[in-house]
Amino acid sequence: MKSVAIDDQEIAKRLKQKDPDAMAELYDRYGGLLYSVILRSVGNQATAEDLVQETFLRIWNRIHTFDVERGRLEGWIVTVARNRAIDYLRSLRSQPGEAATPLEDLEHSGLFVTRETEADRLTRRKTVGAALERLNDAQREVLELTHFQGLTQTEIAERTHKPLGTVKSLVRSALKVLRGSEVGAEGSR
Amino acid sequence: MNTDQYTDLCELYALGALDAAERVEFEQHLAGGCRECRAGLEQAFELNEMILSATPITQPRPQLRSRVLAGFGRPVQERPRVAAWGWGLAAAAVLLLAFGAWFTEHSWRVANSDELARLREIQQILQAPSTKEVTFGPQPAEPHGSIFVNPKLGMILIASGMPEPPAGWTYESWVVPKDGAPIPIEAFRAPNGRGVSLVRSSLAASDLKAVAVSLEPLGTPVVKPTKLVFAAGIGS
Repeated sequence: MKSVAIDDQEIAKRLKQKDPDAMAELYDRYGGLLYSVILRSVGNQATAEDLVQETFLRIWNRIHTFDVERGRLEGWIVTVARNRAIDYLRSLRSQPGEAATPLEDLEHSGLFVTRETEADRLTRRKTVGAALERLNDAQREVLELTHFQGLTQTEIAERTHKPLGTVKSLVRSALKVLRGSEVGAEGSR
Repeated sequence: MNTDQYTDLCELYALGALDAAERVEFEQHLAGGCRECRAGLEQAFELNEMILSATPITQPRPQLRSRVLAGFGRPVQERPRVAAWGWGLAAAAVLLLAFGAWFTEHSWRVANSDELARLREIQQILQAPSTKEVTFGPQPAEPHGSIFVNPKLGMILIASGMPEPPAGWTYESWVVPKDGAPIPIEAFRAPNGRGVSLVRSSLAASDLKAVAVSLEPLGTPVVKPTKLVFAAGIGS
């Protein structure tokens, strides 16, 4: 049986050759994940479907920049999907004068290369999955707002009516748990 | 901030979720060559992916698959029935891909569902098997491009080689009836000389002889073309 990474590599190669069947395979493999990430962000089926379509179009248009040998296809495309959702949410929030980071700069496929073996990545993935389970409610809330709503810490403080310092502590502690540098979850302050 | 505090910002930076001031400070710090933060940033991208990928799966409606893949040349299961309109899905798909970047660049900025609906409408016309292409202006130095005419869905004007409008002016698309004065359709921009206009008209394509583009001063009512840029016959 071929590994996920090798299958991804083959799909990426064929996408670079503009093979539409490779797009179908990509959809069958990751369409559910990309839809789920986007739906989690925007909370609306019709909008999520539109954004999935945009995501696949963007992948097709940008695949030429992808490093087939070292690139992490799943990492790249899930980030592209998340960023489409966040761009959409930001356009709804529309904050004139607030210079949000252009997400396009943060999804260049060259940023998604790996130096780990697939086995290491699988182990890390399991660790992260287990760590997510250990987060407390307050940590989980800020993680949802940063990763799936694209809010800054200041925006989270405004939305949750918590002091900015508390929000920063929660974000920091949640990420420490996830980086695996802590054994258990810290409580909220 | 010390290095530990900077490395704590890596995940938020990778998500584009830092406040503007923090982002600038972090980027200046990175530009200073901090190896720990560069390594932290690489790991941050990967951690963020894993958090996103841990999302519980909700299966989309089965129709989404065909909708997404239709834009990439599949499924191509039937030929257009009318030879005169036989421009075909495959060519439409190619065009759709050629203008994919345009869609992508514009669609991420959409401010409301009306604009998303507009993009969807454009995409539907380009993908429809019954859509016919009419080219115009073969001289590359002049405005040139295609009009995609669908008898039921409407028309799309895609033009390249458009000159930069003077300050305070914008492009306006028009339909020219076989019998009657030009009718204004919509104002549109043409960044980098390339513009797309969704030409919605209550008149049937068979009642029209051309699609035209003019330059109009911003903020004034559009009644008749002020400066005609080009008129392209649609041959129906």
